[in-house]
Amino acid sequence: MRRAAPDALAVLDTDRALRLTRDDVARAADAAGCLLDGFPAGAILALQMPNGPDFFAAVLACWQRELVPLLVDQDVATAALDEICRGTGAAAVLHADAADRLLVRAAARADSGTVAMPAGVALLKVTSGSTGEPRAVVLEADALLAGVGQIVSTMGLEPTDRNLVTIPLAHSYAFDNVVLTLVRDGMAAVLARDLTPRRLLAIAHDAGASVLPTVPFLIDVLARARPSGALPALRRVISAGAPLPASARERFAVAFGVRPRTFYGATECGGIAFDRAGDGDLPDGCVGAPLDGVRVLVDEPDEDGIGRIRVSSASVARGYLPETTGASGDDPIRRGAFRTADLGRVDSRGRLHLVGRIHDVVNVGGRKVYPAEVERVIRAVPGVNDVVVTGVARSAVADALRAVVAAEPHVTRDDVAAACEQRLARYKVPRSIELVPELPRTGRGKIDRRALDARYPND
Amino acid sequence: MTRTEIATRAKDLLISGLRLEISPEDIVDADPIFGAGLGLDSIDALEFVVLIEENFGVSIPDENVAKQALASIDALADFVESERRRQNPS
Repeated sequence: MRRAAPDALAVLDTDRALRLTRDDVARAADAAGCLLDGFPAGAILALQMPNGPDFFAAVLACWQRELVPLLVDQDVATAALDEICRGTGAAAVLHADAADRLLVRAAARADSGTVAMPAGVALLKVTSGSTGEPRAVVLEADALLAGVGQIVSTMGLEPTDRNLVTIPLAHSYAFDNVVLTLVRDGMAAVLARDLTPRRLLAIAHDAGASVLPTVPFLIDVLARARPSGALPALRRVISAGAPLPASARERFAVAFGVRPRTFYGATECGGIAFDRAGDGDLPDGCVGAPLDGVRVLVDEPDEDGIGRIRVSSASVARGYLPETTGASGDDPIRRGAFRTADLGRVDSRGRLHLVGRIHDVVNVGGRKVYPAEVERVIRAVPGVNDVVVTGVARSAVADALRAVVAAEPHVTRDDVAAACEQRLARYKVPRSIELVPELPRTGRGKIDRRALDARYPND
Repeated sequence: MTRTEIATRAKDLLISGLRLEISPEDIVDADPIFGAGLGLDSIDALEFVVLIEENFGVSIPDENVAKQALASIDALADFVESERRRQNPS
């Protein structure tokens, strides 16, 4: 990173009044490296640090010494961190104190001791996986470089671009889009610690941020903040992590003159698909076409072409840590391909449409129904604000569909049923339709399925 | 808009905007809104900042102002009143 243009901007931390060139970051990495003396090549270091210049320095310091960083979210509690460290065989934890000073402490050890990763392994990312227990995804340097190459080429990013950083660098999405684009291409990172919409817009404006990799929630609040000034440098806005409603997408496009593009990826394989056209013609559930160098396959498609999404590319991880029992044949990572937990189909234009998660399938009398498909039909009924479709046990062997619909008072059960009957196969029409003013939500705004189940128990 | 009306409207926004399952009487005007009783997080705080801006025509420039202005319903009413006086001195 030091070789080319050492004086070029690398990291701008406006809230700390810090402006670091590439040379400054390389020097910070050297300083951080002094903490890492004594760890043998291949040792795993858990990195639990907030967004800041030292995050980049710590990653580079590890790589210079052939150590393997394990990215851990800042909000992961000590007990969970200990569990991750024991599960992976991490040697130590790198973290920052209240004054942003970098510190190293011993990691919780398993009886089997610490682990040495083979040469070529560059990074571990934590994922909750399908079982819910945390485990790490093992990524080789070649896979990371292939992954960032796919992102840069598909999204049309340039070394002169500046990323506005609104998401945790420890997460796969930001690590690939921000850390790796800086390390490989020299794209500068503009850190925003204060996400208050007006402050964020001021930082973006003053820093000349041109790329905003973010999440639907922030796109929505920024668009609603009715900015007083434009962001002339902004040219690419990327939305990942959750579906981006078309209304929020178009409101942002009107406010800033840049239409956010949906991006779909997974920790195990990096980026998968992207709204390449960006022309506003992206139906709900569509996540765009595969990235350059990525092949998307649909396993065992049904009569509608819907099946489990499998991804094949040079950016797929090597495996998991702790290792899964590959012998059972259900290891999602095999020979350069990753089987996601998502169900979808590919349309005639080569675009991927997601219809649900593998465990979301409801079996209605032997036929598979994806609740998301039914939800989309109901959501389109005028006056309906939101809906959740679930399976409820009808007998020991069969489920029935139940829709809980949040709607305006004028909407009737018949309106919802008629829309379903018109647009869905008979067996996909919910047997029970409950109308409510609001769906229960958790503090984070997600639909509270437990509260829903408690309120409308199986009948 | 009187101070009482501001407080009432703010509670309505808090409950409907953040989908809380409580009634306005459960919110004590002097109590902290965030980081206590209601179990709200930073995402809720950003949403509430935008709701306040949209509904009261005020501007919240950064986190420090947000922390003071949204400390409690009382603090919020003070903030909205003083911002409005600043905008329309009469």
